[in-house]
Amino acid sequence: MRVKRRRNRRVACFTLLVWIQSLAWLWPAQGAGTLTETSRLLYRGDFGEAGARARQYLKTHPNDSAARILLARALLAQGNYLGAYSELSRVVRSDPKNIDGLYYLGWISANLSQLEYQELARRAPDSFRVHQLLAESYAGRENKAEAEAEYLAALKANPQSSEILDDLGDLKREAFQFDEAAKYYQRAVKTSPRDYEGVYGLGACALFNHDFPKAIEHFREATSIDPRSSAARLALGDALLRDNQTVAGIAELKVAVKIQPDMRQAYSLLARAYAKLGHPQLAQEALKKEQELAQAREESLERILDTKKGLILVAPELGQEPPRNPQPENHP
Amino acid sequence: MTLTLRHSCQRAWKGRFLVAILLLAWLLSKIGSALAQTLPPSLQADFETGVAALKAGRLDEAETAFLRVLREGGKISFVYNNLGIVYQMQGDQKRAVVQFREAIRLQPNYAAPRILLGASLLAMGQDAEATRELERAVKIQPDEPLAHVQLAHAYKRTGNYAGLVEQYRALHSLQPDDPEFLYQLGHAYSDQAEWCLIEIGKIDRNSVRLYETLGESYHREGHLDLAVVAYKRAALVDPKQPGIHLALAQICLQQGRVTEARKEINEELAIVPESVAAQALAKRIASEAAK
Repeated sequence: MRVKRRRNRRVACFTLLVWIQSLAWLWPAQGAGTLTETSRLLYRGDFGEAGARARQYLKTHPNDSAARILLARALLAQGNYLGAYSELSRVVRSDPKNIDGLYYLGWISANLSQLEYQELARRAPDSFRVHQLLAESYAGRENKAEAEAEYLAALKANPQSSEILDDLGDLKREAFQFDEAAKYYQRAVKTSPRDYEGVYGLGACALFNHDFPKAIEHFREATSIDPRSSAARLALGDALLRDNQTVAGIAELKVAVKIQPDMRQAYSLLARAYAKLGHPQLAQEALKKEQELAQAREESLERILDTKKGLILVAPELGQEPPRNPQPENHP
Repeated sequence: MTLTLRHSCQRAWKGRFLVAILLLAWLLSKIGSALAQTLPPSLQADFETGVAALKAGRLDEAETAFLRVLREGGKISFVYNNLGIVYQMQGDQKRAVVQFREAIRLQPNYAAPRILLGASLLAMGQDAEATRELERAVKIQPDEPLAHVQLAHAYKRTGNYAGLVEQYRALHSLQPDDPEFLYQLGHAYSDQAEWCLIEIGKIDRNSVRLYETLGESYHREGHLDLAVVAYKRAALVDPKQPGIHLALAQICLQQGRVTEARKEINEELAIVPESVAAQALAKRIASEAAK
């Protein structure tokens, strides 16, 4: 475990240095000499001087995003996370299409998130939130048994948490244990009657158990709790179709794609529903749209973004320290 | 994707109801002093009846009592405010909004009805207007945590993640011992990180930064083969991007593939010869190769 932590720390330190050093190509033609030299200072590990020069440059070029990113990187390298965050926020505010600004802001935000969670673990190690984070971390690594154990510990710390009850329900539902899942969701809904997640979960369990009227009832309730949820509309549409209420199902699916136009599954169901109603042209159009979306997804980075979201939202190993003040000699 | 959306939605709703309860408790705790200051003595008994009924959840009774106070001349901001709470708790947001607006009109520097108005407007899906009211509430009473909590909800709903972080930072400063705000701050940062990636994807779905981020995540998680795939894709998108070959060299070395590690580090040094990290890694690779 200790070896793993040490390795993780080395990897994190190394990654940090890689970023700090990946700035040379950013600089615009104007003032290129100054900034190129500043960037070289970063590559050489002279973070203090690099930061000072970037700051100096910003006095005459306050809107220069590249220089501000450079300053943020220098601050980060010196362990000033909040200072770096502030500079990067400024870049993204004034230059929202700046990919490098977004990239570094995203990175530092993810790391600040980890720092806050670690602080939480230090201050309240047995709180339900810490158990929840650990559970999410295990779940993210597909370790369902440990995830369940941590969720149960969280529930012990806060028996009234519908959030945890829903998480346990989700865990059981993913394992196709629908009856057990439904029990957790029922407890959640009993605690918070307008708990979207619990109501939705009950609908999903009923759907898998082929109790379509019950599923429809729960999904309708879910849409009343959150009318903007495309997921609930999709699920309701699906349940209605399975219950042979094709017209009503189509109406819900249309709402789903209105809320979320790239909802591929909704088009797939719409195609089947139109075919069933004897509208081959509409079915063909829906199918075409579904295929276009599937193709776009394959060709694009959405898949990666989905994967990444899963990774980035995973709680950190709570014992693992991220690099606060990385120095070149610590790196490989 | 769907699960993520459902989760965030659920959290928002739960938060909103929690806030409504907290707001009520907070508001009722402040009524006593306000009552002594402004309500005519003849109406105090009715008002207190209303407050007691509201506390006990007897909403119809509370409504009757507050309406009576208003009818008999007690047209004071906090009476409208309390009547608004009754309607809000009954789920009648439209009527609640009318009462809160009247409370604000009578006393523009009174933060409570603005916070409650913001909550009702959020429930009605009027996020932009809710945000404006809540921002004013925070300005009026910057040390009131509930105003920040509600504004955080509004920012989350409107996709203002920088604002979300700012509100939870303020809350953490106001109540540093409350672990919940620490957790929410961590969550807010995480939301912002996710948002940044989505924004990059919107600008350029094939951005080298997306592959690089993916590589970093896999590397951190110990999925070295997947990390290599992601970094190689990044190198294909932009072969001159500093850092990519350095990361690949590091992974190759971790995997014991010294020859490939050397090839990668040489490519990195060709791009950034002054890189101390690349130079240090090159030395380490050379020493491994010599073993």
